Amino acid sequence: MSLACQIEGKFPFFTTLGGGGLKGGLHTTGAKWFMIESQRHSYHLVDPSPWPISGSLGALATTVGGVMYMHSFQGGATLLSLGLIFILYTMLVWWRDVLRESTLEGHHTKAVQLGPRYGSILFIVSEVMFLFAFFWASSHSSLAPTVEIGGIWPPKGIGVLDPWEIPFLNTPILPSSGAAVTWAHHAILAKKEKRAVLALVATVSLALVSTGFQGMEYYQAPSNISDSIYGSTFFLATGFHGFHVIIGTLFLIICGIRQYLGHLTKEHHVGFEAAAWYWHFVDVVRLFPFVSIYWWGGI
Amino acid sequence: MAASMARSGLRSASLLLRGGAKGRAGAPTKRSFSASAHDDAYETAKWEKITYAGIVTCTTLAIYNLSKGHHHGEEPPAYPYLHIRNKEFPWGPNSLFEKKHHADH
Amino acid sequence: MAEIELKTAPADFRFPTTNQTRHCFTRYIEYHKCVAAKGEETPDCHKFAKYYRSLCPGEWVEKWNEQRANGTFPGPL
Repeated sequence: MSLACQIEGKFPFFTTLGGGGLKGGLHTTGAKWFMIESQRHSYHLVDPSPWPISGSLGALATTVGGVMYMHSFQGGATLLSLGLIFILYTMLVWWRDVLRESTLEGHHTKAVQLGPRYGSILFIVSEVMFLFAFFWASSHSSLAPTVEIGGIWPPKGIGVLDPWEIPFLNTPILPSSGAAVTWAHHAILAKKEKRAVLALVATVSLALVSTGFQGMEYYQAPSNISDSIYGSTFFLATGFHGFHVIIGTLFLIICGIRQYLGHLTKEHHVGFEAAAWYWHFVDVVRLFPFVSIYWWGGI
Repeated sequence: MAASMARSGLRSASLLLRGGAKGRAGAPTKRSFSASAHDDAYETAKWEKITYAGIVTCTTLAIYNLSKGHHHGEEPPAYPYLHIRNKEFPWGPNSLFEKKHHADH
Repeated sequence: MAEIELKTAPADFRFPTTNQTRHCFTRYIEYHKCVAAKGEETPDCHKFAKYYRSLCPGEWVEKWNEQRANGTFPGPL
């Protein structure tokens, strides 16, 4: 009994996940069943990489530069910009390396794919907690308004947006985009590569329209972030949601490009799945600010 | 939607746990990303239609909404909690996305 | 020697907490609503004035009076 069969016997998961047994051969885009030819195990022993330390230095420069900038120290803006450029550069080259390791070198076996899957789920859970804090702040401030704002919500003098205008218009756009990403997912599973590209183009287009309307809404908004606790909580919650929409859009654009290049297959599309989960998180979360901040908080 | 996709991810994990505990016999033997290619083709077509329906709805809403236009409110009295400035911004007196009230409108 | 009777606002079930900020603010608003409805002269509003004066710090009352004069009082009057 070969080692491969022993492992298969112990962990049927490795073979059941892909729906097939051991398949040899070097194909660049499909997932390996559970090990690549040059090693006797299914795990990815990564090469030494400079990106963790470059990312850390970027984060250090960003935080120190940010504090210096906000306190009007000389050179603060320069250090902040340098730090941000460093972080963006690190993100670019690190993810480039991951794509090379997974798509071109085939290191992401089914066992290895579990890592980014759990990672993505935990990341989204942490994002839920992050946004939850802002909705908590908003509810805390609006359910028992303080004496400083006259004990009423919204405070006097705050021009409240009509929830049934742009906010209501913007609310179904993200779920429609969510439908489009589901369409893309099924197209990938059905091996309809071109349809998947089209579906991702639809997803991203709807996302961009949504961001455009959000920008328009902010432009027309009669109040801003420095107008009482109403403005603070309103723009913090809706602004961070909008920021997450932009992150999700970038994620989906990358997936669209990779789908166009043929990186995503029926068996191996972890990056796409992570983007889709993230996107559903963003589109579902949109309903909370609409109901609690725009609608209830505005009357 | 979101729930079902998260489930598919979690299911891979539970399969690993169950497989480890019960061994080959008890574990489900067949698992792919979805039931079959035919179902995926059907689902693809279904979600394509749902997407188009969503786009049509959003477009209609957008046309209706934007044709209504919007009104500009009056400048409110100077309540102490409006336009809070505790110190100068590094870039000047106005916040980043502030509308210039005096210029237009 | 005459006894001086010390009295504060009675306990109000709407404001059960130790922090009586809202109680003070509400009594201030109630007084001014009362005056707006019944006029300065009636004795009906005196009790609200007594309540808010015993509950509210003097500088708050001064600030609110100023805000009412400027039309920037945040409360619902």
